[in-house]
Amino acid sequence: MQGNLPLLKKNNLKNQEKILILGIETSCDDTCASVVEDGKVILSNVIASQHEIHGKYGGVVPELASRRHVEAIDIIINEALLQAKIKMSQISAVSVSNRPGLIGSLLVGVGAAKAISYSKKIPFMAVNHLKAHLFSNFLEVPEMGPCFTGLIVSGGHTSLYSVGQNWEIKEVGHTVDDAAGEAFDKIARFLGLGYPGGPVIDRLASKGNPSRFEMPRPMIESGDLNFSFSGLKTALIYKTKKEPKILDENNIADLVASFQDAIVDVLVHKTFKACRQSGFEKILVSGGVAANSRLRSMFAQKADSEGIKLYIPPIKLCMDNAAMVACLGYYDYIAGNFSDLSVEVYSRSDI
Amino acid sequence: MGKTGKAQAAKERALSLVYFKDLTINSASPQKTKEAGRLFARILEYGDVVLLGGELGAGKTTFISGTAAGLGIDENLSSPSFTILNIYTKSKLCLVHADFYRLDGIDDILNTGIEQYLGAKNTLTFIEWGEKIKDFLKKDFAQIYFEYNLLDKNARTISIKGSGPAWGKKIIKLGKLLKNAHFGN
Repeated sequence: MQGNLPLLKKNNLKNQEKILILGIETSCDDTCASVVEDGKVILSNVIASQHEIHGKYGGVVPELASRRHVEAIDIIINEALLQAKIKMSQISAVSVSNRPGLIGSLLVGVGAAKAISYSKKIPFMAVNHLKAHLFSNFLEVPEMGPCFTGLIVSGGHTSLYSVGQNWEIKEVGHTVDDAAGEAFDKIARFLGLGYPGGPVIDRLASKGNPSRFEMPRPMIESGDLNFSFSGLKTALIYKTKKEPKILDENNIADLVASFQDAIVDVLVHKTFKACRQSGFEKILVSGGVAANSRLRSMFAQKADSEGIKLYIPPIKLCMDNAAMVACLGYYDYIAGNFSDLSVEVYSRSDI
Repeated sequence: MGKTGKAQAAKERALSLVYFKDLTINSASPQKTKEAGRLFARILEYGDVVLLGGELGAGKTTFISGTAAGLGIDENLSSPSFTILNIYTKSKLCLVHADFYRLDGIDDILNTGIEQYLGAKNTLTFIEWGEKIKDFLKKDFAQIYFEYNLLDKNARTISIKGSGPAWGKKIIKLGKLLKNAHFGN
């Protein structure tokens, strides 16, 4: 990793009062940038799809739509600096997700990070997007420490990790087909409930009876820590073909509540199993689906009864965001783990 | 038009009847869908583009995972609905597994960078919900369509067709492979 390392500024860590990391996140739909101080104080956390951003910049870039990273990136980075009341010259280093994700999207963020690093002569750190989700809680609870089971559950990913004493991260389970968030989105779309599916199903399910319809809990008895949600998706779709009345107004809340519970059940079951197997006493859940109210309450209930400490970040930090990228970058920065300007992007990754 | 010219034209017309030949099979289970995918791998050539269509849960990803296994790719294929493009490599082979489910319009599609992979060297491209790009493809391609079977929740009907003479020949070969593996209509 020696290669073309950018020249480090003459700020040595001992003298620096605050370490300001600019985080950039463009792995999927949203263009995000954030400034985080000392790995824990969020000075700004900007996401392109936010209402305020649309309102402020809608005229300049008419479509701050999904994946328009090229159009949005400069605006979002500048907005992050503006909201943090920080100038680029005060930034110590740049942290950016370079895997996993959509290659074209990742390239925009990584390109911006490299350009800033090269022109400002500051280090940059290319980080793993999923690992950043594991670190999202450190923004709220910096003293959390290692030795925990982490579940990252979102539209694009559903994976279980073991984080050991020395911060070594091992993937212990993953989905063999659809991610949980994807199952929510697809079923919501199939049922004509709108997008994004997660929040819509969450709201509707809260009015429904989750025991009314029998839904399979795929792979719950598989003996391993892997997940599968596509069978649940097809079970529901098939049911609607055989019994179209199930789609009626008076049934649909119960249908989605039953569907939601099947997903949450499996997530809870496997996560606590993983935790037991590793002998940890802490569980972290993050990723977009961690915003789901039923998931949060079922995990909390189980944590209570098993005497496990549960950590779930606030909703804004569960979704894709750049603050978690800046937080992870901070730890890489102080360890001197910088990336080379030749670093590439990858659609998939091992953590 | 001389005799040779007419014969040539007739031959071409006859061949054209072989284009877009539909091959339809019944798959009794996800395992059989995966097996069909594995057999499909045997007729593929570098540069091939395959579009997959059909309802949610009808078996598109399952089929492609069979093909990947047939090509020697050990990794598990998960759905690219969110990531849109997943790339797998095995020695010189590059397998592109794309899913355009979440994309609206050709701009969105082109922004993914898919063009560089279509027909590229040593590359096989599979696109779920690929009908969206059909009219923009410059080369011949195959189309596979998956449907639920209302009498059996595990069964599916799979139809395979291709444009151009090369695909016509490949599909005939595939038909024989599927028949030998007891896939009926």
